[in-house]
Amino acid sequence: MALLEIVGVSKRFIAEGKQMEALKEVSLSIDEREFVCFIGPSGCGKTTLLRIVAGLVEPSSGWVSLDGQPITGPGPERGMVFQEYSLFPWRNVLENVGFGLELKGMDRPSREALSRQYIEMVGLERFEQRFPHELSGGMKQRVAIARALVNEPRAILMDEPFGALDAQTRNTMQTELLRIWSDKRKTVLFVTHSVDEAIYLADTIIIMSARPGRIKDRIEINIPRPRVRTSPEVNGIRDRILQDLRSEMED
Amino acid sequence: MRRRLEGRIGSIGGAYGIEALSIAGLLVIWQIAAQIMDNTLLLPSFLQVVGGFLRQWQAILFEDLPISLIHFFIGLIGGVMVALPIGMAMGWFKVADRIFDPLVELLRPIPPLAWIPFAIIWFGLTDESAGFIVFVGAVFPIMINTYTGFRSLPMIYVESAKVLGCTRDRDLIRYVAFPFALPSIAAGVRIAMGIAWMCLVAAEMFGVSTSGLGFKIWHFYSLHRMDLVLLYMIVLGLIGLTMDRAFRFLVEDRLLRWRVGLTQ
Repeated sequence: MALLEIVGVSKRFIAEGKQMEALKEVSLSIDEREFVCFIGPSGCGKTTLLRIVAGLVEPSSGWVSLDGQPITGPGPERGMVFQEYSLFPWRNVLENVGFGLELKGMDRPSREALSRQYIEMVGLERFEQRFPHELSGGMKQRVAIARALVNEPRAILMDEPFGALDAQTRNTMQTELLRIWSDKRKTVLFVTHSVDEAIYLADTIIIMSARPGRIKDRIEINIPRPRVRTSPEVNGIRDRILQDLRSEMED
Repeated sequence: MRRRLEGRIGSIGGAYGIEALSIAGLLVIWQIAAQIMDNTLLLPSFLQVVGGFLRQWQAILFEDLPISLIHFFIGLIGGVMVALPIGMAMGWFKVADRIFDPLVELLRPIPPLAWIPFAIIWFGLTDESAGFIVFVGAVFPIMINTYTGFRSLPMIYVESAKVLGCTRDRDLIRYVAFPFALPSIAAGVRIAMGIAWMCLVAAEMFGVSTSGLGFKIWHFYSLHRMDLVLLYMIVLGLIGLTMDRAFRFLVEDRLLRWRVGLTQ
């Protein structure tokens, strides 16, 4: 059985008096340990879909289930990393990462020990006492990843997490994320604007179309990792996705 | 730039040379002016005030100041205890906002000193009575800053807390909204302290109390001891300054260190 089932999910918003269909009957199964990237033009509802899986937004119809259990609200078994910097500015790195554990009622020594493991995993052991304003953009997102993973989530949802980073940092973060992913073997749902990022990361790329948002194409990528960003296979897939997206623009 | 400028001035006249000179200058001009005028009622001289202090300091330190501080802290602590829960509820729950907002907007424009008659009727000439006037002065700035702090909480912090398992209102307030709003609340308390200090003096002067620094100003005025009136004025100013600096040092510099990056 799939880990995550998205069944007939639609979402309608009322914006400026007009009804907008952000998502229309989206159905998708995602397996345990699968790395899925969502890509599509703005307004295709990919972020909305991720927020529905997170439990932050309720679908107008349809449902999402994790391990067969319907999702009714947000919870730590679905960790999320946002595009904006979402670290709590009043907590240092160690306290940010330990936040979820603190809520579970774990005592301070155990949660600090566990938090340190994850801080080390993202390579920030020298920065655990720093406050968010003392970190670079890439470091902040590393902390956000550690903060989500320390709760041992079943799935991790990432909404353009590297969108605000410069190209160099972005490439490093992608490689780091794959290292962590192959280590922890978590299911990842990753929303991105970048075709290159999707091909470099994903097992499966879901291409979405806009107005109404729905799944247009699904591409399985079987190229072994680490992938060479300019190899012929990668170029072939990129052409196919770009064609998909271009025909989307012409519609 | 500013730092470099300060450094240069510092090298001319020591760490606070110019500042000290400025205050000394005022004192000298004051003394000369008072000697020329030669009228203790109109302008007591600096040396007369110093003399007053030497005779009066024990009374100030051990009688008047403790009483005034009791009035001050009754009002301020009462203000915090009432303003915090209401401000937090108004900032977090829409219903609470709609319930309290009209009441607050009606009561807030009434100047605290207008409550003096009722304070006397309700509490008599007691410490509580003066404390009540201080309370009225302190409660609204704290309440409004708490409310504003809660209201300006960015959605992203609420959402990231929720996906980390913090979903109940109680937990969101405790772990997210309150720590976020703390700088704003602290600023409210600081404003409230200033207003409370003014209300305290006025309340004591207008007979809500029969002791305290403010009472003594009125008392010595009725004896036409303007040197002592001026002495108490200076003491009030210095204590107000000390409390403000102490609060900034203890709360804003220590507790709210994380905010540095947000304001610079």
